[in-house]
Amino acid sequence: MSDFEKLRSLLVGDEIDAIEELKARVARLAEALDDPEEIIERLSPWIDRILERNIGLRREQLVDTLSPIIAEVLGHEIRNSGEAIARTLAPVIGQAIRVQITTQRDEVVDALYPVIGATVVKAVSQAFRDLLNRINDEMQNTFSVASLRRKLTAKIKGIPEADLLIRENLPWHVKSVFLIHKTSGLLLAQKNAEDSAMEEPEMVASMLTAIRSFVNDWISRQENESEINQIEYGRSTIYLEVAGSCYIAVVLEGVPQMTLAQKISEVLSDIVGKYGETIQHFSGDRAELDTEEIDRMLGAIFAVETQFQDSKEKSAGSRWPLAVMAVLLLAGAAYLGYRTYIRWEAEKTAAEIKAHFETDPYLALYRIEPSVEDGRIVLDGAVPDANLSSYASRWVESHFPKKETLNRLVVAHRPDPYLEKIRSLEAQLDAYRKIPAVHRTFYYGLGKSNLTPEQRRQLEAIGTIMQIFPEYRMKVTGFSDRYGTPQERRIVAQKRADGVKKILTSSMGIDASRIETAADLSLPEETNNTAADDAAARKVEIELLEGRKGSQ
Amino acid sequence: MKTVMKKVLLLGNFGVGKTSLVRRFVENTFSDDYLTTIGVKISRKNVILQEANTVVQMLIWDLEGKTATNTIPDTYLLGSAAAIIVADLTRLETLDSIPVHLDQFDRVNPGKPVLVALNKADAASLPEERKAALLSLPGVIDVEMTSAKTGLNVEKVFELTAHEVVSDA
Ligand SMILES: Nc1nc2c(ncn2[C@@H]2O[C@H](COP(=O)(O)OP(=O)(O)O)[C@@H](O)[C@H]2O)c(=O)[nH]1
Ligand SMILES: [Mg+2]
Repeated sequence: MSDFEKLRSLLVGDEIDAIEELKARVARLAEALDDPEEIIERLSPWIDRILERNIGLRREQLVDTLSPIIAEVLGHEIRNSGEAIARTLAPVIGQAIRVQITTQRDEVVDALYPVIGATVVKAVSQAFRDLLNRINDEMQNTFSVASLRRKLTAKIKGIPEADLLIRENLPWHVKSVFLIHKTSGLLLAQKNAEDSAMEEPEMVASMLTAIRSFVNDWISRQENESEINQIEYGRSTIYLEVAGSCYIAVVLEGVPQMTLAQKISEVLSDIVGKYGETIQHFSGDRAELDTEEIDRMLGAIFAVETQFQDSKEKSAGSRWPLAVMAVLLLAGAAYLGYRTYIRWEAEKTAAEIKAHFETDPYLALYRIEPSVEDGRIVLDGAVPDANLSSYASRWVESHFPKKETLNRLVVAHRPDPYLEKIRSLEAQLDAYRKIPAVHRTFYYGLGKSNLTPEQRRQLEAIGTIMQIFPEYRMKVTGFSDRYGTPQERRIVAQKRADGVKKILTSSMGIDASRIETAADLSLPEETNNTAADDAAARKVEIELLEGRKGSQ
Repeated sequence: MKTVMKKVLLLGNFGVGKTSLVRRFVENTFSDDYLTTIGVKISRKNVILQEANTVVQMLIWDLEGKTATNTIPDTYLLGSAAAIIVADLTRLETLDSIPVHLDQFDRVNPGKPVLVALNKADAASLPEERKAALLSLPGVIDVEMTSAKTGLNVEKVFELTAHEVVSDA
């Protein structure tokens, strides 16, 4: 050993040993790091402690970190062994749903509505079917009487019984008409067809009212603000029409003509015009009502059918079976355009399309059945012309561009008075829309205060606008010519204005509060007191104003 | 003799015995199915009031809340001449709901009379002061202990109601 080495050994000998040992340890560690088995063995006693501490202190971060992994693992597991997972989770699912319902009721309700909605609709139609079956049973009892009468009629009139049978099985038949107080459901009046009887009409009226409230309550929770107006099932229909504080329910079999719907609303508006006040305050005693007159008015609804059957009888009388068939077919075609009822469908797309069609002024009158078949939107039904058919599919295509549209609408060519009427109304409305207010002047003959039929027709056109647009108001100012005392002149002028108002309120059902009347004693500015000038002074001026409040 | 029709409501928590009371009393009724379907069951009973020379044709609306908390749409209550609010003596919490039903009824039909039927009297009773407290609720014109099981006071409640709706008019 050299001196130097001795010296070094003396001074730092221990350290050198230590360094050698450290070198060896570092080498061992480096080796261990390359061997995962070794690391795991060494770390595992610590992992539990680390987790314990982290869960205590940093729970949230931990959850954030772990959840995606858990989701992934679960997804994987469910794909591979779904049944086992289901068994594991099943016991907590019921509880989970209960918790969900208590904490997030609205969301749950929203999610379930489409499903429940369809169930409710089913339940309602079931309820109706039961109700009607009861009524039907009742009618069955009168069957023998009916057939007896048929035989007698056949004998007396010399018409083959089969022809009569066909006539009795016409596409539609009104069985019963109810006039019902809207809110209480109390029966105001009721009339049955000759061959029909109705058990417990008061209870039926209450029941209809309850069902109507139920359905309307349900619909009002949907987006569109419609009213239930018709319930169909099989060959029977209850047609509901509401006005003022009452409604008419018509129980009928088959598909009625448009004229029936017209007649129903006509009768109802007459009744409301005449007895609206009394009905509103009805307390349950029918003696308060002019029952005889109301019965007579309701009878008009049955009369539509009689007129229809009379017109049929002429062709049936010719005993040509073909002619009978032709009439039946024609009648069938005439009814195609009819249905404007509300139907709900679970299928959202179909329901949405339908809801649109029902409010579209061009399509509302036609029966178009949208459905979704194999992802395609299918339009079934009939419209009176090809333009309407392509109009309908254009709307669908533009609103559901991702879906293929199949237009199966049948174009049934026939003149359609309603379409004509709507078009002419549209045209009128367009004209009216261009000017903010409508002014119209009607002139009267000497001493007259009633309108000519032509003037009345023009007035009703304006009235129609008020019916369609409840925001319109009207100002009616009556004038008179220069003859008479101011007092007399005022009376005549007022009478003219009142006459106009009366037509709109009592025969068109427009609320009186929307029409303001006045008498104006001023005379035309450039008057030379000629007979022509006098005639020009005998007038009413009608102003149609927009806006509910008296603005201009 | 004149006939008047009146709509009368039966209100009260689920299970207090409304439907049983109606069953005891009425002449004709729709099937119970309607109750579960649309929450209303209609029944009819005519009550003859000799002194008023009047037949009261009562159209009784038995209303079922669709949930335990008993939410009935206001539209079902509209146009009623009176209400019978039913509670269950064997479940005193159903008495606590009486003011809730009363409020809804009075909001929809202001000032119309209300009778309270404390049902299942065959199985439980109630201290007089509780009864008096109910009688002092606004709009309540009578409180009766009833039993749909034994028939106790069932006719009486409906007949009082008939009287009430005729004299109230
Ligand atoms: N002991 C007793 N039980 C009654 C009485 N009235 C009804 N119940 C019972 O109470 C339960 C509920 O009756 P229900 O008429 O359906 O009640 P609702 O839900 O108010 O129509 C039924 O099991 C009836 O048998 C009663 O007066 N006495
Ligand atoms: Mg019940």
